[in-house]
Amino acid sequence: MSQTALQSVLYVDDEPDIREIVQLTLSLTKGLVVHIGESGEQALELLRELRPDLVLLDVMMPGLDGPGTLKRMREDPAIAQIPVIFVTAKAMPREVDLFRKMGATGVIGKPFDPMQLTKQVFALWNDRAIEMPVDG
Amino acid sequence: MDELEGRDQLALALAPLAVHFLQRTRLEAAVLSELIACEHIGDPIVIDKLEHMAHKIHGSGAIFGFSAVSESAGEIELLVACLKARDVSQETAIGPQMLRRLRKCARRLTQEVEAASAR
Repeated sequence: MSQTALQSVLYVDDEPDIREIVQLTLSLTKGLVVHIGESGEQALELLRELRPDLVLLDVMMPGLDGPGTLKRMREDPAIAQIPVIFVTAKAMPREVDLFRKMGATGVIGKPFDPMQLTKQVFALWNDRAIEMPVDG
Repeated sequence: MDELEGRDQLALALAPLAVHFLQRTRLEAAVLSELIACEHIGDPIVIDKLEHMAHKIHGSGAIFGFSAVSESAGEIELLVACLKARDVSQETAIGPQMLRRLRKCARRLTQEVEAASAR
């Protein structure tokens, strides 16, 4: 199976500082388009409109939180296949297992190091391509 | 662009955001102190506001590399979480010891923000 290049990402977080940091950091990667959302509800709209390759979701958001957003995504065939990475302070092994069981591709712990973020995102993206079942 | 160049470019890009964070956090630390000092501190709305502000400073401070600012906000967040967990049917007022600890943490946060801003 060929690995597809990561070309577009949606990052969703209710904290404006962290949205800015992530946008700035990931945007330094040539060819990667970074979209930003500030709530789970808005994320669902943006996902339907933009169809990014990948979505990074904060777990703790007011209203529709990260896991709630993932559940709603999986119920909508138009966006059900978009891989999700959770970004959360709750990144103990037990919690990571739980998030993976929910269907997340991976978890990035908060606080993250901006200098390492791009590497972490691409590593999880590439792992996902390896883990995907081969068609046919 | 090699990795070293990328890191330099990112550090340069993040610097203005970090300055802005500190400027805003100075104001927020003052608001936190006022909330802790106010007579309605036991009010769930005030407690939620305290928790949200402390959580935000804790998380963003760590990402920007202001570890002392982040840690002092984290202490407030932890204390507020204890307040939220208390049995409000048994205890309507916040104990003087808890208030003292909160005030001490708020003072420390203000000092750490000032120290980071001065660097």
